[in-house]
Amino acid sequence: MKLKKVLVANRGEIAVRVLRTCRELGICTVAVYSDPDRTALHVSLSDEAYALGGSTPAESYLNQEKLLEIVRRSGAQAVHPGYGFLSENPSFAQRLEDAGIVFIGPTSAAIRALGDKTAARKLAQSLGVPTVAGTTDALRSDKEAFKIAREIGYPLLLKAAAGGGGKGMRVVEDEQHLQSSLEAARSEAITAFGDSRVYIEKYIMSPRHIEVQILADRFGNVVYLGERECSIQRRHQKVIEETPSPVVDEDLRRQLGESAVRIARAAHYVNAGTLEFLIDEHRNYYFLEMNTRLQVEHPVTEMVTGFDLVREQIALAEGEPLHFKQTDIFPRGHAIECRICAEDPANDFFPSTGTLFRYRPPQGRIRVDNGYNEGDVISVFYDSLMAKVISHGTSRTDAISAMKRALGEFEIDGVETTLRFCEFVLDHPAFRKGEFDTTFIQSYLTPSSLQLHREEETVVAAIFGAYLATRDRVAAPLSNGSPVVGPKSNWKLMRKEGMQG
Amino acid sequence: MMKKFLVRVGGKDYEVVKDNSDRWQINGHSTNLEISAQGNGSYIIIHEGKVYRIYVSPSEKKSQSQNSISLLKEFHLKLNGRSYSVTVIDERSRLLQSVLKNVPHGETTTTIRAPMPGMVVKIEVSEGDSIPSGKGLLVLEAMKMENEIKAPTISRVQKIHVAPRQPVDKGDPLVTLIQN
Repeated sequence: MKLKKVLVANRGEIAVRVLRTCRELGICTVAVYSDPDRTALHVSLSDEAYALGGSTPAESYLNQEKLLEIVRRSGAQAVHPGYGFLSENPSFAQRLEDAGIVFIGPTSAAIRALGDKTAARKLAQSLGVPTVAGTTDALRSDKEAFKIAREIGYPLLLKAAAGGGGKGMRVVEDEQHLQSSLEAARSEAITAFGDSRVYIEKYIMSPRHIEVQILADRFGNVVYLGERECSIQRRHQKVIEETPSPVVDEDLRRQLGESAVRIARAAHYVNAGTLEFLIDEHRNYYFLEMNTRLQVEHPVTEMVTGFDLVREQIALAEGEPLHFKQTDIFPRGHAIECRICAEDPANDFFPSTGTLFRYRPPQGRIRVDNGYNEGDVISVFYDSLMAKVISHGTSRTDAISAMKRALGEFEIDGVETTLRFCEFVLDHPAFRKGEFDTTFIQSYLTPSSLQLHREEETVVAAIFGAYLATRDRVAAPLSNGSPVVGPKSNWKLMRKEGMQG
Repeated sequence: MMKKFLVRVGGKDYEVVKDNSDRWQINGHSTNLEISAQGNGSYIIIHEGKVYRIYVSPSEKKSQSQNSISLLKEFHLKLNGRSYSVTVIDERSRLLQSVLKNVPHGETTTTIRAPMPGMVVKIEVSEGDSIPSGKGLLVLEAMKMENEIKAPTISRVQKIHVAPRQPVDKGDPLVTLIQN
């Protein structure tokens, strides 16, 4: 069945990215929005839009009842969930299936089977794919936790069975801290996922985080589209990704790819998915978990393979067979993605909120997947990701140069961002040499890393400051610190200032 | 009309003079600087043949400098994408200040404010402490995460406005620091 109308149950850059492919395919698009998102970019770029109401995710983008009602009202034949929100929620997928609506992703059964991390580990082990030592079942008691911890040794990792994104995860250095960490992990897991089950894994020191993209059709064909290196992380969340990984050679790539395909095939998986692996310092790999959705960092794979993964997802959801084989995939060059988030890298990546007084994404030989407009408000309600900058080059060095040039042009004011942090990483010798792991930030980031004042710029700033001081009316709203409320009044302020200039 | 300013950027002090023919001098050296306003707070500067993109932020910053004499001006700039805070005082105001003697030359106070609603978990400095840049001032719990609020520059703690277990709103004063 060819899809004619698709509802995108998401917001921000991923909603925009999905809508754009739908429009390229001539598919009519339906956006949904919360109260603060009424004028958001994803709404303005879609053919139809319906209000979800409310501000919090629970009231809006996680509200299954409202979404189902809008699906019916709009006549959409399919729902694309993006990532986050309801993308890995088996009951939502199930309700769509029951209503005869296509879920652009795997079946609810596959989400359920693979979304449970302990079940996924068990499946991998049964197929001979290496996993990190630990429990395959959620812990039944504290007593069991202490017993297993003694067997596998410290340091170890407590993880939420229903988890993701670092929530409900705790590193435990020694037995003394096990009890309190168990309690903390459980309480975080129940808050985040409504499921307090946790399990134990051996903690791999200084691992690299590498994942494999797969695509699978309903006829049992599964291909892998190479790996993504995702070791640059803050708070257990990725911030810079690239493909190929500097440590993965042809042989390891094939081993990872074939392991990924084996797991997906055994789970009767259909659509796009990602299998995450840890790689230790001896280049041993361990299967971690499968993400049954499109990943934030999927564009790097698109850049080197030439495939539009959303387009492939739609074709697979329509029931088409894969239109290419493993031997038809020839990745070219090197791609890097930097996540531009409203966070303060100088303050432990604390979320930053405010109005985007200035927001000018870069242009030129790069790709920008963006979700915001100048004047938009970054609120506490949603993810801090504003935009992704993706560069593609003939070599890793070439991709880094293009990225650096682009980040230097990105102008954002109103919130703190990860821009300067990304530049710091791109310039760092360890990153340049490709010798880094998930401990990069704790090993190298210091408060002085980001204070990049330059002598010649300081001189210019000093003279320019004196120039501004001669112009009282420009200075007035700045020096008296009068609070500025809402984007509207700021526009006025900016215009006034501009006319004087 | 000649005008003299004392300007502080990134911990450095400059004497900037605008002479009678609208040319600029910095620390006694004449310099060639062209400023073109582009609207909406954007400027293009050409200084000694080099191009600089400047944007003057209208945003209210977390830490707003204050002074007993309000003739001190502070600007937040993005210069080629990097953030610069510029404090400017003109010669006349400085003379006035030295007469009043209540604020020594160049000394400014910065009040660190809560970046978002939360609760003070603990306080890591005492009033009167001299502290290095980056020193943790206090720990604030917000959005279920503990976050350390750090000193932006070398400074002395003038006043602590909060106590442990005290809830704060976004923008509430936490600690006032003196820089000199």
